[in-house]
Amino acid sequence: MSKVKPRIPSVVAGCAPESIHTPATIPELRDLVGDRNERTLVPVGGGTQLALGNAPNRPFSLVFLKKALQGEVEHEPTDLTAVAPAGVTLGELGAQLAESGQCLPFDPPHSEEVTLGGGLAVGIGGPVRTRYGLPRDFVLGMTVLRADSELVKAGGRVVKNVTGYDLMRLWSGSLGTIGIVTSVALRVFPLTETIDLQCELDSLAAGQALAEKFLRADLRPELLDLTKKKGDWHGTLRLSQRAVSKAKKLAATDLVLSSEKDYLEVRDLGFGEKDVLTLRASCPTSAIASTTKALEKLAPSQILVRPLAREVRTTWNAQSIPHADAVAATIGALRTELAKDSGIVVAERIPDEMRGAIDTWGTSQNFQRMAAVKSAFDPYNRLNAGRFVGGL
Amino acid sequence: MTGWPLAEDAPNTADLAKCVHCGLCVNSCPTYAITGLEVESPRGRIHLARAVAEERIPLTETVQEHWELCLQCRACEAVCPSGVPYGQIMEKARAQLQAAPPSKSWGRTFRRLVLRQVIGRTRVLATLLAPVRFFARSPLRKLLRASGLLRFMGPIGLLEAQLGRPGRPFRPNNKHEEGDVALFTGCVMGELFGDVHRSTVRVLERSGTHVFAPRNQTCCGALSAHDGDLEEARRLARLNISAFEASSAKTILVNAAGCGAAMKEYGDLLEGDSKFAERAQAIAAKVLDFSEYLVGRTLPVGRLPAKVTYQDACHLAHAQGISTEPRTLLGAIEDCELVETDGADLCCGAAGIYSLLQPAMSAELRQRKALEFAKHKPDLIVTANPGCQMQYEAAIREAGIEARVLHLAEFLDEAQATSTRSP
Amino acid sequence: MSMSTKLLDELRNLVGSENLLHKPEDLLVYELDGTIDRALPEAVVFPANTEEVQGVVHACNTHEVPVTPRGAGTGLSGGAIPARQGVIVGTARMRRILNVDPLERTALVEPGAPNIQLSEIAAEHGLFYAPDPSSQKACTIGGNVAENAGGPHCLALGVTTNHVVGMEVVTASGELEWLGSYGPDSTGYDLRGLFIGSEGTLGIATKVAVRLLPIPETVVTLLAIFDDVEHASETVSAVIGAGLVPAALEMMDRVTLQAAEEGLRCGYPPNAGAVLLIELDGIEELVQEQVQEARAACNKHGATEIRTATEANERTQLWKGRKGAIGALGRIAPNYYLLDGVVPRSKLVETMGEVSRISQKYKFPVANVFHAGDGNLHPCLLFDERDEGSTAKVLEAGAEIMQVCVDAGGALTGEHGVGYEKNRFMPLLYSETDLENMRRVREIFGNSGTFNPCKVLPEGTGCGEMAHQKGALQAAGPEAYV
Repeated sequence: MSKVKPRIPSVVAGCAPESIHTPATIPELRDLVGDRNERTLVPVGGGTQLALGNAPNRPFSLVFLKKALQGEVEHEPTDLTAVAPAGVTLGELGAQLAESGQCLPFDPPHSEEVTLGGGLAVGIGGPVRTRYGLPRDFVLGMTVLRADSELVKAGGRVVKNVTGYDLMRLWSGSLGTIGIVTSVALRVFPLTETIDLQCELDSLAAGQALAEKFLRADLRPELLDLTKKKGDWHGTLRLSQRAVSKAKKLAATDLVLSSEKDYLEVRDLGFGEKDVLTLRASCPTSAIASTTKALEKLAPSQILVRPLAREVRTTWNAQSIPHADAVAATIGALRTELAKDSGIVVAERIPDEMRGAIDTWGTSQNFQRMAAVKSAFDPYNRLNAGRFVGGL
Repeated sequence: MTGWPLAEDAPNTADLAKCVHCGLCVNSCPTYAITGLEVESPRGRIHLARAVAEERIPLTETVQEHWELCLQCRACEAVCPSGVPYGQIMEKARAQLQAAPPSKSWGRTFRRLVLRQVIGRTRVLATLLAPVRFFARSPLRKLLRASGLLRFMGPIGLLEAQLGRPGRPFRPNNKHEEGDVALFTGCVMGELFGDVHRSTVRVLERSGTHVFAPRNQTCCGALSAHDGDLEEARRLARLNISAFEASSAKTILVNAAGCGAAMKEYGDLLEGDSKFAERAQAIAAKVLDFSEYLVGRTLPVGRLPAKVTYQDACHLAHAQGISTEPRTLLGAIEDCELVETDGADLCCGAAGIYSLLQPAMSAELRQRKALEFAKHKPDLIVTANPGCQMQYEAAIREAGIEARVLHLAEFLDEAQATSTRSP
Repeated sequence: MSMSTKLLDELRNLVGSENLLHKPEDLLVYELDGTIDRALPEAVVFPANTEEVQGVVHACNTHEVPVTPRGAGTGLSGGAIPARQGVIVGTARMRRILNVDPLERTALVEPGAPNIQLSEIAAEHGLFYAPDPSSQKACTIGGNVAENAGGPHCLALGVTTNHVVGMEVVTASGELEWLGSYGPDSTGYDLRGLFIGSEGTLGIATKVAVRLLPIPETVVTLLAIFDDVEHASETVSAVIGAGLVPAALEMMDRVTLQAAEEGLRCGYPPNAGAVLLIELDGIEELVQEQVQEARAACNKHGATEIRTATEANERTQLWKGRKGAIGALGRIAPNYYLLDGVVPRSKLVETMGEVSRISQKYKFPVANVFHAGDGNLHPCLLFDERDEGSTAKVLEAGAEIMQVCVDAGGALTGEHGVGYEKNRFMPLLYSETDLENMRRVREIFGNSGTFNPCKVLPEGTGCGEMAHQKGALQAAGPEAYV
């Protein structure tokens, strides 16, 4: 856990709030949400992903949630479950689970600062999604503060449960537009003995081939990220200790030990202080190479390919940033190209001056249905209005 | 409370109640696989039987049609975790049709007449099949085929396609013979598949078993039982029981899957017969399939360079649970390449006289086999039941491949003979 | 029969007369699925493709006639029961595997394709489809999507929602829409995740894109025999405590073992009180180590015998009893009422005690099969529906067991779904506000109340209570059915 708490920014996509609230309890939070006015509320957890999403489409208030959503973490090691308040950070939660030899394999950028609720609302995974999947896959149950200030729940706290509609998946990744997560029941995992390794690669294709080979050999890498630095491709891997000798035999390149620093680099890539523009493409395996190539033409400062999760992330710092029109054209072309296979491009960070040219999410063929979701749960646009897909 | 017209042969209520409608059977059922209809599935047919038993519905023509489309292949029985005796339920349900509302009763009466007066009478059958055997090897057949007329002859055309090249008949010897191991000769099997019996005898001799065919034995009764004529099936069973009791046989070998399954179940068939119930059990306990007997015995080396596929006979695989034994025997033959086709254990559509009664469904199932044959192009198709052999004769013609259809015994006989000739 | 001939004509025009059933005898067999509830449809249609499904849904909506989707009818919560009569839409004619893409490790499947067929075809590419409900030989992918089906192997790998990446659906209102993607991520709300497990109340999936996994290098199945369920349960805790997440961790009790032995001849010792199946997979090096740990846990907690299998056919043999266990109960009783409660794993033994108390109280013997690894228990109350009043009584006993599970911090259903059977019990777990909140989901998909009515959520009036009464009283005689 990092000792220095970073200052949470209070500007959302270049727009300043009309007010900032820090409720201390859930009742206070309910009052705030229930106080119907023209402003929309922008919920803030750890604040690490406040830049994600469009600008609010009306005057807004920031509401800092961490304080109100605190409490005990109920960890049941024999059940491999934990129930945690949404305001706990992944860093705190991880430390507590580790005491009993368990973990939550959810490592989004700057995990230590990310709150459980915020992380789930954003819904993106980190490097270990390669093995464990997206954060929504760990949620067993949720309690959510709806826009009309009713507390509602779905799911439960058992590891297998189909009692009622799976609203947890609807809430996960909804960017707080249909409710504020207050408490989460989670499936947790035993900590395993792993080793972090790295390797040099001749090309992206070599990295992809390595990933495919390891997968087919059932090595089940926990993470396998490919990055391009100074023109060369590198691999960063985490494997079970027992799998290392086999991996070394299979790999056409040397696998050497890597450090915590290397892991953090891939985890946080795109979300450093200097990263001003970050794009994430999710596409079929067959389109990874062409997608990467298209993005490389814009000379990003860093490239990350997560082949088994089918994800490509590129980032630009202030020095390397291309012209907005070029970025918009590339994103537009990629979105059209990938749409055939239902691939997507999300602009995770956008410099304020480019906001007019670039849409964070792109269009969705399900927009009408999503609008129906929004109006079913937040008909008066009380929460995060305008920030999600298509301005929902 | 019962809606059965023939109360004495009604499906057993407890047997019907055993079905917990879990549905695990449906995909194993060939007619469900083709139609996708619950009414053409074992679960659906049992549910209809329950509804009739409980007088929720009368025994309508629609119900009858669904039951008559059943192949009685008993693939469902093999996968049923609850042990529902589907074969018995369906035999008894069919028995009810004899007394059910008329509509197609002329067809049933004719069928019953043929089964009772021809199949069930060894001498009549022998007399009637003699010209068939002659026809099968005569130039007339070639002429008829070439003329293309067969296509327009309905069931006759089908029978022609199914007819292989039958050899001399094989009938029980009228003289009294002694021995431990008896061979069951059957009806059509003995008349049209005499070569299979002769191969069976040779293969057994080579493994040190002398077999004899006790006199006075007759058709096993399976065809009648499947048709719901339990009275006739029981008559034949009693004749066979008496015939084998009168012999010295300790083991009764059967090389036709349908007959073997029926004879192993004589106990159930004659359950209510005070004079025969126990005797039926005793005889049934002596019945073994040819392959079941042969596995584990010392056999001479066999060699047959050919691509071979084994197709399960339903009443061997599903009713008797014998599917590895024939494959083990085949696998032991040198130089032979064994290929497994998809759906080897799926009914071929022969199912006794089903191919004549339900030609459309039967053809559909036969075509599935034909497609597999066309895909794998085996040299030899081996099975263990005369009806299946006939159906495969028609299937290879449809597949347009050069292949021979052999009974397992013929295959082993040929392989052993080849091997001794060229060591 | 009250269905208008006009609707029947429309349906006939849409799917062809041979794919429309309306004779009473033909409808009769569609009154049930794998469990207790029953209700007769007025017509059953089998569309051949998406357009026909859409046409059927439109026609029924126009006539305000209820629509109930049906796969293979192996469900265990009455999900395919036409609770308010109307039309059943069967997927039996849509059962093709449209493609398997080994590079992307995905497959596109029609909803009526049987689960097992998908794995069989995927195996040609060294891949498999993870969710493996015990009915996998018969049950369909569409039904799996509706119920968010699990299976013994979902302990480590997750349930249907973890393996279905997207699907084409005809919504309750008759609109055609693709939900999700072909890959793991999509933009916006996870409508895919919402649809999966919605028990066919939001629409009918007409194409399903699934993710396939590489077949594990090494698989070892352990079958450990214990004197009683307590020892077996302690072993389960010990295995989890050792940090293992086996591919499967299953338990069967004495009654189940006897039925399975009788029916399937699995070779269980006659006096076995509980059997634990532990399956471990992965690379040889890791699996061997885990096998040692699992064996140690078994031995430490009183296993009387441990069998190990590595080859596929030997493993199948060990699994045989488990896969067929529920059906095998038909050998010891004509009917069973199969429950699907979930409790925290640590409450397993305690809950078992309560279940056995309830079984004694109501005088219904109970057989237990559990997905012990995830605390999902399947108590089967054995009864004979021909005994007057027994169905009503067994439902009452079931209700008590559900209450016990909820009190232990668990849930009503782990994998069978709420369906028609358990919707009345939803208030045990959720407040009126929670249920109202869930009800909004139906509006999102335009379900105005006639699309698969009486499933998942409790209904105020109409179908629910009356039909359940009917189900409960059906043992009373034929008039209770029609």
